[in-house]
Amino acid sequence: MASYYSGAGDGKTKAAALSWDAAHDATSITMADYDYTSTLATVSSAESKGTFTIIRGFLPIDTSGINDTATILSAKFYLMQGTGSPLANGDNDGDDWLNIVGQTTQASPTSLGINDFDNCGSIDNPTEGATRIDFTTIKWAQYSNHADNGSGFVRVTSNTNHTLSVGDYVYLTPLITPAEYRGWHTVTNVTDNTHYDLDVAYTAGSVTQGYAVVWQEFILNSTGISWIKKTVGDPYTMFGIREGHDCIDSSIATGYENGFIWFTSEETSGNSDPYLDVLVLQTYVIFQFKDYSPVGNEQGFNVTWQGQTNLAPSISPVVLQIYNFDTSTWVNLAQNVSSDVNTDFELSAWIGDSGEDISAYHNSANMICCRVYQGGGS
Amino acid sequence: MQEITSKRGWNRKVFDNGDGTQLYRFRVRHCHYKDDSGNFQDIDPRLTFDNTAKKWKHNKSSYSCEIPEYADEEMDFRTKYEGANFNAKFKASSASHILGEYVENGEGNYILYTNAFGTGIDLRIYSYWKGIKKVVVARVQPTIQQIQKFNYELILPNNEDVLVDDTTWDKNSTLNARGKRIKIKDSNNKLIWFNQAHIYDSNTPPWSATLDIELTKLANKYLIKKNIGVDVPVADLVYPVYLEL
Repeated sequence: MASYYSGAGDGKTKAAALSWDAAHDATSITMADYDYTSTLATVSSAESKGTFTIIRGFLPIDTSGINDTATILSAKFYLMQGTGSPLANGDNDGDDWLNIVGQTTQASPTSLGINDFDNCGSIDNPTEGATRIDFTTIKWAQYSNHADNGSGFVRVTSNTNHTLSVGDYVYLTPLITPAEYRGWHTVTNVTDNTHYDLDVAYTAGSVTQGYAVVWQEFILNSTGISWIKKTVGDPYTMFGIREGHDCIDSSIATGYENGFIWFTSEETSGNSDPYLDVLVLQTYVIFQFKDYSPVGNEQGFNVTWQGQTNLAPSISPVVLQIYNFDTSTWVNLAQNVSSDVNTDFELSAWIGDSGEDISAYHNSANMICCRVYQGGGS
Repeated sequence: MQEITSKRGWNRKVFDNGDGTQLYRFRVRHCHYKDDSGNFQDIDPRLTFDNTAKKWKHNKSSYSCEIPEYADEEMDFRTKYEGANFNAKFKASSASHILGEYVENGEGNYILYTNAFGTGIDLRIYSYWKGIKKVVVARVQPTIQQIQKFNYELILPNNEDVLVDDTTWDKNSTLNARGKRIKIKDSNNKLIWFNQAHIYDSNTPPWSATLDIELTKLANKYLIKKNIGVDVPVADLVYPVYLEL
């Protein structure tokens, strides 16, 4: 109803026509809808009773905030399957897959319009930005009954054979009571391929049904990563999502649908909205290396770094670390979060000053590796 | 993995992995609001009851709200997001005097007024990340008389402009906004958005449609009226049926 927020621009556009080509190549849409305020959106290719329907998804996302010079190591995009029947895979012919496509050119990244159907990447063979997800690998299950797991929590029984894991989600829809059942619950224990315990207390006498769904993870390729915007003035990364038959312009078989439903951002009350994880390599201010000639394990040493940065440590901390050769990890020694920019400060720490074993911090050649880094700045 | 709170944005969290890399997590929607000091904080729209004001409240988002103790009382919405200075009041004037109860589950946070519009017809007021949302939940098929009670009163203390499709409404005639979004321009020329009104049922997949919304200017307030037209197959829907405004 009342909101301070104009809109996020994610959702779906749909074209329907009496031939595959007419639906696929539609620019002036006569049978269409679009949606920018609903909880769920769909990607689909379908044929039913002589009508072909294609639905394309749009996922603009503000990715400003990454330093312009930062190196992106990897990125993954996540969609949570919607409730109801989140998946249809009628035409399992090898072209039944989903992928992130781009870059979309919807008229506005904060709204989606009826004329955006043909703005979801190239109409034929759009550039794919991630590893394809075959529909047959997408897990979901339906439940029609539940019981006490013996510890006072709900154990659901699946009607299908998809195997869920601890941490996957189940959406319960109680037909009558209790209200607390309705919504997302986490799988806490897998008893076998069809019985799962959930993190919700069991109530005797209630009747429920539900669906189990999981996050779908799109692993971006180098092209998809290159689409990620870092600039404040042009902040939107413009992802689309399309079904395989639609991408390669291959008609879906008569009478079938390949469809996937996901949660959009607009009306979600929880954390089931889409998100993008970007792994960024931090900017290293300096590396230091120091020879070490141990007298005995009881002998410690001091590591000191002195310098300055043009990015305030209060915005991005400056961290001194030492390499642990046993665990192959960097260990924090000290950090600065308060010094002024362009002003010298010091990071210092003792290793082994209390007589502890320091052998993990040098290799067989007695090399110690330390580094100082900051996520940005110079 | 430790969050670097100084790197938060409206839709962004940044985590230090401790290995020289940082994980940026971007949500499509906002996950933060700015507090009075201008620092980003986690949005938390859960409601608590103010015993003095007799209202359900929260102020941990880019807006604040006061949701009434009883269904037929006034609710308040206000925001100062990015320079806005907006306040509106709503009232389900035809609802019964039903005490609300707080519900927090997988569907979100809301005040439930059971049977607010008669037996089997509830009112829910949701508080969520971007605003408040009124939902009439018909657990049974409503009568014509019950449907006519779903209206709302809107009070704009500053008599702001009302727009549909970027056209300012003259307020002299009844405004029909089916399938469109109503916007209100505050005194700082900032826009406040009303969602499209829509209806959906409990079928799988749900049947859904947009609803006719009419806005009529009265003496010192507006009447928001939901019209359930002949294109809504009331008798064939799977209940509960949800009407959102």
